[in-house]
Formats: sequence, structure tokens, C-alpha cells
Amino acid sequence: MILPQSHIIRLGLRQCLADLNLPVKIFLAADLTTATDLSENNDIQLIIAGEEFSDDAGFHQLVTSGKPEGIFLFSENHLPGNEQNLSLFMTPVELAAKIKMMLQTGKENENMPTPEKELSKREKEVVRLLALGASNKDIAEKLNLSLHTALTHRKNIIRKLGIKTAAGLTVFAILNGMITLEEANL
Amino acid sequence: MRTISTETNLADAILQNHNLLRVIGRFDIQPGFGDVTVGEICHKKDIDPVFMVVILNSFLDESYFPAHDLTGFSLKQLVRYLQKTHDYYLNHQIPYIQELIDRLCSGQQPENPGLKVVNRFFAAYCRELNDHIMREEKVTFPYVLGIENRFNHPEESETGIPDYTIQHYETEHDNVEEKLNDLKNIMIKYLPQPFDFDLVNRITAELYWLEKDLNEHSRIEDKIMIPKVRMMETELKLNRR
Repeated sequence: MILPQSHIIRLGLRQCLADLNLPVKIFLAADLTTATDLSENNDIQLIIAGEEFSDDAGFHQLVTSGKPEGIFLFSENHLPGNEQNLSLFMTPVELAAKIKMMLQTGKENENMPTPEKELSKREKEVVRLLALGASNKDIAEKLNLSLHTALTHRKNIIRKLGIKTAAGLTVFAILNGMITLEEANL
Repeated sequence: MRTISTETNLADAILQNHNLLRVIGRFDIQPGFGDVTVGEICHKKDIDPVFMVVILNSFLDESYFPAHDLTGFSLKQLVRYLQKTHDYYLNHQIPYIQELIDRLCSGQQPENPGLKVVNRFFAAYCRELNDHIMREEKVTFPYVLGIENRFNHPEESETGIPDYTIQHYETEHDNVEEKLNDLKNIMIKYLPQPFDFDLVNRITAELYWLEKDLNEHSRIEDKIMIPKVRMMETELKLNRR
């Protein structure tokens, strides 16, 4: 999915990707609402986002809930040598190498025998709030998420920890120092 | 696995799956019963053989559903059996696990606060299980027995069917198993050192026993009691029209 605000950059990136002849479908989004819709209805492997979105909470939500395998930030300037960045002045060869490498990494991850078990930072926040007795709705409000995203976090937490109930998550949170025994309602 | 019938030798069935010993214990049959068939021991102990066969098979085979046998026994004896399993949880199994967990916590010097958290979780679980059991004893079972009574003696029951239906029970049927599963997970994956490994082993084994038994208990309620009550509710409503 290609998500810079600039119309010209979006179309330019689409053309560059089309030239690579990758066996993937390319989606274009000018804003986060469209991007979230696309992400909910399609299996998005890679997001190339304009750097203007990098500090946006909605963007954070998009990349944690949709679970793309790779994320690139696109900048109009040369950014310091970060593998996660694409810039306006890259050569087609550089671009191809980065995109192909990211898609390949995604595939390798898919074939990994064990699923990802570490909680993300956002999931840890959700566990902490659940352990303090917050409902799904409270969590969505406090973390500025949609209810759907809060529920997705919860599903992922269950999958990763194997713990389903709020009381069980409370014990996990205490044992891992996320909350104290005194704070817990156990 | 062979299905048990009244002709099956009881000792043979138990030698194939020793967990059945706990089940027959709830019918007051204890080891040393001799070389008898299921039908013979039922006759001797005055147990309904159809009911006994349904319970044994349902314990052995999760997919067992005795559609044709549902009418063959009374809900009264099913409720009596379920009450006996409640008694076993509350007065034997849970206190035993609690005792092991208490020993696990008190045996660690200096104290391991993580174990105390697990103990609190177990205490919370026990309260929930107790509430669930009490609700069944005080609301569900009297309703089930009342429906059977109306069904058998329609001439005696002047008033209509109460508002509560078995549908309510199905929706409120708490999933106490979920918490138990979490406890097992926490014990196995996240228990903080140091602790007495032997005790942890024993506690985990007992939690597995309890889980298997509770699942079995729920299955009897869901697959035998509820369908039978629903069938009676439907007929009572039809007759009222």
C-alpha cells in the first residue's frame, strides 16, 4: 500500500513498483481512513507511508493492527542510512533491492515454525490497562483506538500469551512488573 | 474405543480407562465390586442402568450423544449425579489443590511474592467456581426438576411454565474452564523461581484432573440435561395451546 499525502509521489511510487514487475497488488491511499479501510479488507504485506504520518497515532494503530510485514517511510529528503526509509532521490536499483528484501523477509517470517510471542509496546499497555480493570471500551478511549483495534490487540495478546481472562492477565502483569499487587483487583 | 453397554464387564471397562473409577464412585460403587457386568452392579445398587451407561460412555467419548436414550432415564437422577460431582469439587478436589498451593507458598524462604499472586488467583477462581455451582444448585437444578415434575404430572400443575427457560441457563453458563486454563498456562510458562518443583508438578497434574472432570461435567449438562429439558419445555408449551 502506498500512503504519502502527495498525489504526485503516490503515482510516482506506483509507477516505480509497477516497473519492478512484482507479483503483488498495489493499493493507493491518500489518508489514514482510506488506508485503514484497505488494511482491514486486504492482506497488506508492505506499507510505504509518507514521513508526515510517522508521528500520527492513527498511523501507529494502522501498522500494529493490520500487521503488515514491512513498513517504509518515504521522505522527500535523503534520510540517514536507515533500512526502513525510502527517499525521493533513490535509484530504481536501490528501490528494487529494498522492496524485494522486505517482501522476502516477510515470506521468511511466514515460514517460521514458531509464531511471534513477544508483546508489542502497545499490547503491553493494553495488558496493563486490562489488569487494572479497564474494559475494552475504556482501553479504546484511553489509548485513542477504535474498539475494533482494541479487540484486535486483545486477540493478539491471547494468541501470544495463551491467557484469556482478565484475572489471568492481571497475574501475568504482576509477575512481569507491569502493575503491583496492591494496584491489582485480584 | 468400544461403547459400554449393560453387558460390559465393569472391571474390563475400568482396566481400559482407570478414570472411570472416579465416575462409578459417584454412584457409590467402590473397588472390590467383583466380576460383574454394568447391568448386574446397577441391579445390585439400585441404579438406573440406562443412565449409568449414558454417563460412562459420555465420559469415555467426547462426541457421544445418546439421542435415543434421552427419554430412558429421569432428570432427577441426572441432577443427583451432577450434585455429587459438585460435592466432589467443593469438598475434595479444590481443598486438596488449595492445600498444595498453600504448601508451595509457605515452603519458600525467603518468601516468593510471585507464588502468592498465583495463590490469590486460585482463590479468586475458587470463588467463581463456587458461585457457578451455587447458581446451578439454587436456580438451574430446581427449575430442571420442576419441569420434569410438570411434564410427568401435567394435571397437578395449574400455573404456566415459569419465565426462566433452559435457554437462560445456556447463555449464563459461565466458562469457568477458561480461568482454569489460564492458571495452568501461568503455572507452566510464567511461574517465577524459586519454588518446589515437585509440588508444582503435583499441582499442575491436579489442575489437569480438575479440568478434565469439569469439561466432562459441562458436557453432560450441555449434551444430556439441556436437550432433555428443552424437549420437555417444547412439549409442555405445545400441550398448553
